[in-house]
Amino acid sequence: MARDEAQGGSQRTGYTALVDCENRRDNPADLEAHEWLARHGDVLFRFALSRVRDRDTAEEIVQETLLAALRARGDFRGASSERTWLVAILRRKVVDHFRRYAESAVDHDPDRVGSFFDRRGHWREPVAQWTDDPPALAQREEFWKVFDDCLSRLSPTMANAFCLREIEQFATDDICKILGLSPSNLWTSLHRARMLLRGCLEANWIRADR
Amino acid sequence: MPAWKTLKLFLALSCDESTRLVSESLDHPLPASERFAIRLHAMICRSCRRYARQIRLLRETMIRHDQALLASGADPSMPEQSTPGVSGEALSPQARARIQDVLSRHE
Repeated sequence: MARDEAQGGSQRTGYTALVDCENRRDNPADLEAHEWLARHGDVLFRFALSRVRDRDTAEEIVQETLLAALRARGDFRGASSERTWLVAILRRKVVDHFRRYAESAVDHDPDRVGSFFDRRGHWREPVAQWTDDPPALAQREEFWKVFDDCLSRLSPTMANAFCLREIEQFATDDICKILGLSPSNLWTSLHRARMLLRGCLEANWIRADR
Repeated sequence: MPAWKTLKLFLALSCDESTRLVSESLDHPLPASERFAIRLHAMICRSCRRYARQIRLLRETMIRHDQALLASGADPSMPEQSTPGVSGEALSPQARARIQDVLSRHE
């Protein structure tokens, strides 16, 4: 638990840093802004795609990122790499995208988690033993194919919550603000996302050994 | 929490409830009674133990993958390391041209 709280602290800082990173502009630096797209376009696109899961949206976010970077280029001082700076702006744009989605849409999340349990609340199917550890998993191309497919079966709110919590590692109060959810709604969404992802991965990615 | 409720939590926690609490423990600190209840349940339930391990593994895997994605682009002058997942993805020529056009109008 102590570990979780410690993480919570650093997450807040991370988010605040993200919010602040873009709006200061002083000394326009002589950056080769026209080369950003050629040098970093694909990496930015992959970063966006891993978060928003939709090519058109990911392209839009890359465009918004580079425009914002152009407007704020005086902020870049070379302390971090150009790419790190662009990625920080991109992450902020992804948050904006999730926020806009949450403001405009209401997902209907039927409770599919119940189907994993019988009437007395016991597992219908025993949970299998997974044989891979995180480094091994992260390096398996086939794992990510199945993972993307499983993620696409979640409602957008569940998937966005999962992304903000598990990829961006934001504190839950920040995620509640971004997605306009109460803490208990967020916990429920995350629980459902984890449960459905786990079940889908187990069913479709056959390295489990019962 | 009334004593009977605490007792019920310890004795009669179902897998359904246990998984919900285990998931919540990744998102906010649980009261000691709930932490104790899920630990007790895990002692007798292999599926719930595996569930707890797997959702943590999922979290670690996400973090590692994201770090690899960032590292793959750390130095643009170096050849990119392949990162499984979205590694093969690239901006389409159309998107690239469109973005270039928008940028040149703002530069």
